Amino acid sequence: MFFYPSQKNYLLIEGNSVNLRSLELEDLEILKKWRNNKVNRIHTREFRLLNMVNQKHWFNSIHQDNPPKFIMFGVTDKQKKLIGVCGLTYIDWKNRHCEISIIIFKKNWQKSKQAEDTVMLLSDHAFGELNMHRLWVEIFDTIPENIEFFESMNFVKEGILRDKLWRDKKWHNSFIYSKLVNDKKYGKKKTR
Amino acid sequence: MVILKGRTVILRSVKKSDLKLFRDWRNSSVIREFNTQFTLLNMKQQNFWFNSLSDKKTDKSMFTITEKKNTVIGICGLTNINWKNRNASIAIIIGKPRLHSKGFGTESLDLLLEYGFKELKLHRIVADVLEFNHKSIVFFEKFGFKLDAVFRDYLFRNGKWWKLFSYSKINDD
Repeated sequence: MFFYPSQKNYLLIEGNSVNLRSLELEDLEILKKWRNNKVNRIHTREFRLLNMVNQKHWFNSIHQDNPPKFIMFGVTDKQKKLIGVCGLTYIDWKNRHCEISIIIFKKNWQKSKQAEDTVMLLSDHAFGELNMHRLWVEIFDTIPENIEFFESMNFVKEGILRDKLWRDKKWHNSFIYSKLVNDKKYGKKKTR
Repeated sequence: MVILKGRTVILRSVKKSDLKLFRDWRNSSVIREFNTQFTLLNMKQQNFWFNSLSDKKTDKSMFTITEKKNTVIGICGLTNINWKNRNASIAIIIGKPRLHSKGFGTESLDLLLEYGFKELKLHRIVADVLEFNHKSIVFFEKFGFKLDAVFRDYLFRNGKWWKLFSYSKINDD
């Protein structure tokens, strides 16, 4: 099992280039903006344009369960500026699996060190702290960048759900990727 | 009240008086074994579930399966109905073991697929099956369901991890 090397305290979850902190109500405005952005919005399950009513409803809903079904974080850079939102969603405490959710507020974030760091921190938190067994992610074929990103993070392709999504006049497949706690390969693939 | 008629079975809407039977079936080891359910259900949960069926926001369409003589023999339906992306999952239980492998399941699924595709105009119907449920795997493959994905270590049971097979059928498959 892998543990992220630089975890020093529990106020924040600290990585090399980013920190994870609790997500606050005040963060929803900027999150809304990025989720409604015309590039991002075609890649998520959401098909509405979100307003603050939707956002606050969602924010309330993720605090309903104990133990929580959703654990969300604000992603900040080392200057404490909010640069993204991430979390573990649909947590199944019995079968110990959950989905990874991540958005970094910039173009081509999949290529950034910050995205890599965020996924490593989330994996570490899920496996090392929450005792999860399987992390999974669903990616629509509208966004090959995410497929490439999670492949590069050594997630394993479990299959393709045919015609799972209707968007922009046609059917799209979704790809399911996962990582098990005892998968041998961990972290970013080595590139030469 | 939706009634779907087959050759030997009828699918009718669920009645409150069916619930005790459903509870006993779902709690029996032969049926529980193949579900992801991990607690024994009581009537409080059954009533809650029953009331949720008539909720406007329900994402389920459930039927009681009866034989022509009105004997209740099972339950089936479509769950997780997603109207935007026009998909749903299959749920089907034939209650008494002595009624298994008699063609009741086949006939019920026929009716259910017809209802899903032709009446609800769904595009994709999903059947999630645990890896050790060999009968259901053969059953759904017979209907032309295709294996889309194998979720590794999806369920923990009897001290071990098990895979989940996710099958689907597209309207024009």
